[in-house]
Amino acid sequence: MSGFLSALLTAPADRQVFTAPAPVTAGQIRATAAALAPRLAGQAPLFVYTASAALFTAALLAAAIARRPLALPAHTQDAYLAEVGGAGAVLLDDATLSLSAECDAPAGRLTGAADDIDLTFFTSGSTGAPKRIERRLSQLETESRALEATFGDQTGPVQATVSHQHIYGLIYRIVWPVMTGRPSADMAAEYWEQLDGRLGPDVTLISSPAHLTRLPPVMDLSSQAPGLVFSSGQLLPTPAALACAAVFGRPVTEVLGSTETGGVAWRRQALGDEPWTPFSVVRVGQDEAGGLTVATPYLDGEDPFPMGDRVEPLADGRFRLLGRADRMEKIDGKRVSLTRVEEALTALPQIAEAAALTLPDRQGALAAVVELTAEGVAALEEKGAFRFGRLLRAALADRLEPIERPKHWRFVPRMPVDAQGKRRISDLRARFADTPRVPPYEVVSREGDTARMKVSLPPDLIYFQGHFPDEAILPGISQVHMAVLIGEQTLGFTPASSELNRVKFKDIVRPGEVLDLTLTADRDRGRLTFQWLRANGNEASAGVIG
Amino acid sequence: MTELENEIKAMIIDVLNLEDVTPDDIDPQEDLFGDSGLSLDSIDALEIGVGVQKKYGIKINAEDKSTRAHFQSVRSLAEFVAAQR
Repeated sequence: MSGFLSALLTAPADRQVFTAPAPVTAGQIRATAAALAPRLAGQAPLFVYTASAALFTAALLAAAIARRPLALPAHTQDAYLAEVGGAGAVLLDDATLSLSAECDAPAGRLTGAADDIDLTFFTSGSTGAPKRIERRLSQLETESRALEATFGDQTGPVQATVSHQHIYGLIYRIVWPVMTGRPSADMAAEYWEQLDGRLGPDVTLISSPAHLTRLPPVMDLSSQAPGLVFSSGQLLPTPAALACAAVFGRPVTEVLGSTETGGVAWRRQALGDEPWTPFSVVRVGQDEAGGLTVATPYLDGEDPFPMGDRVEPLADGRFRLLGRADRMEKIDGKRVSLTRVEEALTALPQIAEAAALTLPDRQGALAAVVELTAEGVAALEEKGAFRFGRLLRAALADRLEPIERPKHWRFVPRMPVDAQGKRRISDLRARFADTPRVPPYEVVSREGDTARMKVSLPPDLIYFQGHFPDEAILPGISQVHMAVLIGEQTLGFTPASSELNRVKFKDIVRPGEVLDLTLTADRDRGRLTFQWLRANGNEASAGVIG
Repeated sequence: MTELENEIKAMIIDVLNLEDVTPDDIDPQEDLFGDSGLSLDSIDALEIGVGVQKKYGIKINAEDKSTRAHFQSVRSLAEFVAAQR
């Protein structure tokens, strides 16, 4: 696989390098670059901004001939250009660039081209101000070779919905296709409808969540689905990824990366949220805060680059993204710093260590896993888990807003950590997994709207926990609750209200017992009659619900 | 009234997904929202409000100043529900 510049310089003059809307040959690009190169001499910075991939490529070749660096602004608004140092620059744009009609450059005009070009990208930094990022063409070539090694056998002619003014578009639409001799669309499509008739199973589409979350409702994409669809720039939400997979007949290939690092990892969400596979040339690691660090051959220097995303490494070398390392979470629409919550928690005399987290299963509610001090353990024993959690919530009132105070608590003897001593969000979340509320049972008989079953009450059944700390017995109200749940499952019937009539609790039930439950649905009145019998024939409870 | 109070407690436990707690653990007179007692917050109040509306078909006027008083405790909520239905 040849280098980008040598591929351009040595391609047959009539080779179509770019297509759509009109074909552009290698010879035309060389002729355009040869005419442009003299204009690039001098000291003024060079900024290039064009909608045409062919003109952009000619500008790159001209910059190599003139041995000048190029800057790639995201747009050309005057104030923005001034902000990114473009005042006084030579701006190569659609007004000043034009494609040569010659079929090749005059002989000898392209000699002495540099073999590398310094490129400056601009991204929006964390403050919102544009941030300069210096890269070299050779680094983009290295990344293109890695892409070819991973996806080359699936890749075909390129269509796009993204700009080449950003690194993703530049590599995927220009550098990689030119190096491999695959034709690429000259213009990116702004609307899906512009791609109608240009797609198909051999086509590779370079896209992003902007378009992939807005599939056209009318246009028939399925019958002309591209063989390979790339997405980058931001994460493709799983529901959108699944919708795309249904329309295209195959999942989108998402690439995780940044202007600083280039592509780091990729994934295909076929059935749901999938972990990321690092590219073979990329080494991923974690910093002390659990944030993703990457070392790539596309970066200068040896030090791993911090990406700012927290990750969970998996045993097979893949990883999951867990959110930003600054640990800001949205809770009911408000930004909450988990770090700040943990600081406030550990400042309490009852708490030795604390991990704050959100629970996606419970509408993203804030929760805490807490290791207690001796004082805390004593308070927990005295008050019970529920009251103690509420008391801690109240004790945080000085330091935290109500939304920042954990709603759900787990008190653990030791904070769970993995072999590296790190906390794993999946381990922490597992502490809040719902314990089944319906105990194991088997239906013994069923006649009309009356069912009889044997119900086992294992010691770890949720209803035995916490209620009577010294003596685990089954609370009466939970017998009513289980009767309703089992009635829903066996009789397909739910009482019209939760009113209790003639309910009597007569005998104590202990962990490990097997009880006999009889349920009768009165569908006309919306009532459920229940009776729990112990193995010794004593009635534990009975009554009418609804 | 005790029956209605128990129903409301069960509803609060259910809609707020409160754990390790049974209706018996909640004193009908304790402050639901202060920094003592249950120390619920405004999102909890919203969910309880929705729960009351669903279960009893009662309209709650969020602008009404007395609404806050009705939500003070399980007992005041039970009195409010009893008066409305």
